[in-house]
Amino acid sequence: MSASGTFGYGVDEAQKVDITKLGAVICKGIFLKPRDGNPQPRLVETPAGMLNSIGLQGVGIDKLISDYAPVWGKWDTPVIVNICGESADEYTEIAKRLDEVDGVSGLEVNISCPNLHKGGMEFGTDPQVAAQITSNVKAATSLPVMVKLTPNAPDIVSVARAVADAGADALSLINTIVGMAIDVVKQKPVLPNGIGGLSGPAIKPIALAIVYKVAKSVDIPIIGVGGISSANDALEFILAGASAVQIGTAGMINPDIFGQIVNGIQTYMQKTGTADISELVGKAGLR
Amino acid sequence: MKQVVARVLSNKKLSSGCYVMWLEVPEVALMVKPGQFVMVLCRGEGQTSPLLRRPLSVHRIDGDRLALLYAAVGQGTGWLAGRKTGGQVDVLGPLGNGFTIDAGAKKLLLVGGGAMGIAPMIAFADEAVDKGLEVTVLQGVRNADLLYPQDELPSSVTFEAATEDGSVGRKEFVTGAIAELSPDHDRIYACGPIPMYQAIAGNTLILSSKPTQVCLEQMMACGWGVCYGCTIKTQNGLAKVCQDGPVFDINDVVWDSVVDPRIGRV
Ligand SMILES: Cc1cc2nc3c(=O)[nH]c(=O)nc-3n(C[C@H](O)[C@H](O)[C@H](O)COP(=O)(O)O)c2cc1C
Repeated sequence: MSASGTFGYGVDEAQKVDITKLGAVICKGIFLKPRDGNPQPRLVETPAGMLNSIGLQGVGIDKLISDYAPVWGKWDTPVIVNICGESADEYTEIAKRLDEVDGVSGLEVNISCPNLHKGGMEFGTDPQVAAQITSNVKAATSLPVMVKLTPNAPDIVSVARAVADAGADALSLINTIVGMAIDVVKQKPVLPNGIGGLSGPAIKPIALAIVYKVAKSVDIPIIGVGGISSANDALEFILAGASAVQIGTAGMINPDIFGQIVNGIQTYMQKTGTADISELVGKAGLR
Repeated sequence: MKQVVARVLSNKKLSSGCYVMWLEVPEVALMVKPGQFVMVLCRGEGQTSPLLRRPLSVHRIDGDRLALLYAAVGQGTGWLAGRKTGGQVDVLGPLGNGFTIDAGAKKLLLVGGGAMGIAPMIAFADEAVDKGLEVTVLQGVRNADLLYPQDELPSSVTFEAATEDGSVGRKEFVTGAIAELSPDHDRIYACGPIPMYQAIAGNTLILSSKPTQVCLEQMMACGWGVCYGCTIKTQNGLAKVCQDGPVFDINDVVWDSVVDPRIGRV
């Protein structure tokens, strides 16, 4: 899958990249209203990674439903909408609006964005709040609901358990990690909010350890995300307990990577005599 | 847009200190227009730094080949400078929208700010000369050493230099030279650092005189519209520099929303 925020709304992108190789397109995070996002600068390159402070620039739910969903409805590749909220109610409202919209195959609840003043990550750090949003969204839709968690929670396993108990169909792990860069000439943080979200190969070991840990604590499927840049990386996440993976930063840099990773996994399965990918899920876990 | 592994035909250092790299890459070269850019992966296979591709303007176009002009100032461009003839470079392109020439244009002033700002202007001068237009290329630099070699320009182009130390050409900032030259031209095209544009945009004398297109740079992660990292404000709403630009009408850009992408470090 393409990770949210790294593949736009998929519509322009599908003209440039072969999306038939993707298990799903996850679109950019959406709020009820259109949003401008944060001022420049929004990006900083870091060792083997990058910080972003996009601030969820977006078109809002009306335009998503009127302009993008009809295009998605014609695709064979399912589209999962990443939903955001400044309040707990906003998630419920968006979930209601998207229920039974043709072209939308699932929801990914973003309670993990580090670039917002209100909402976002603060809903994903407290197990009770996370569980409440999850059950509200579940009640508001008949679509499958996966919940995207933040590694910035003090105890992500508790959040994962609470969200699973609240009825989530799957978890995506992880959103970006809070990070910072400082301009030593200006003697100020580079990014307007001070902090941003770290992504890319630099976060892969952290994401992998979280997937491994959470996979042993919950019974719902986990979608691994964080720094995956090759078939080898993807296989590590699957062996750690992920049933599927998302590619973010690596796909922005190398749009051809989706197909390459799929091919690499297939080659590995042939070599290892694996008939079904599910045989590999969590195989590295000590049981 | 294609992601292709291009073959390095040559990679030479110019007298200005910049490098010119010629690539054989028909998938991009046959489609690309002056003002468009490519995202160049500046690392070897299996490496993770520098992580992001570098946006580079197309400097020259010749059939199935294209040239890039770059200064070897950081890790990425340093890696590029080390590529040898016959080597390979992964490029993504063509990206963005190029310069446009309207039907009424006759005398073009092409401005390159700094040693690198000249990069897209040479391909554009080639195109404009081919179309039978009169072209002046103005380069503004700190001193004569940084000037682009004039023997590389099409012969019918008039070259003007502005240097801060007066070592060659006019002794003034490039903005002053634009103000002096603009009455003799009917369109202005510029490429250079953000502070140069902000100076031009603040100079009502230049602004009110002639239609001006500028080629912008903001920090980009993808270059093809997916990351929303390079969003700026324009009179027509938000715009992605990579996809809606990098060429904009100077009056369309809300200049407060644009920042100099260089990060200060020791
Ligand atoms: C530019 C950018 C924008 C992002 N926008 C979103 C978003 O809208 N919603 C979301 O849940 N995650 C967002 N993310 C996080 C990614 O989906 C992903 O969780 C994270 O980048 C880690 O994966 P990666 O290392 O493969 O990029 C964004 C990441 C980046 C780099």
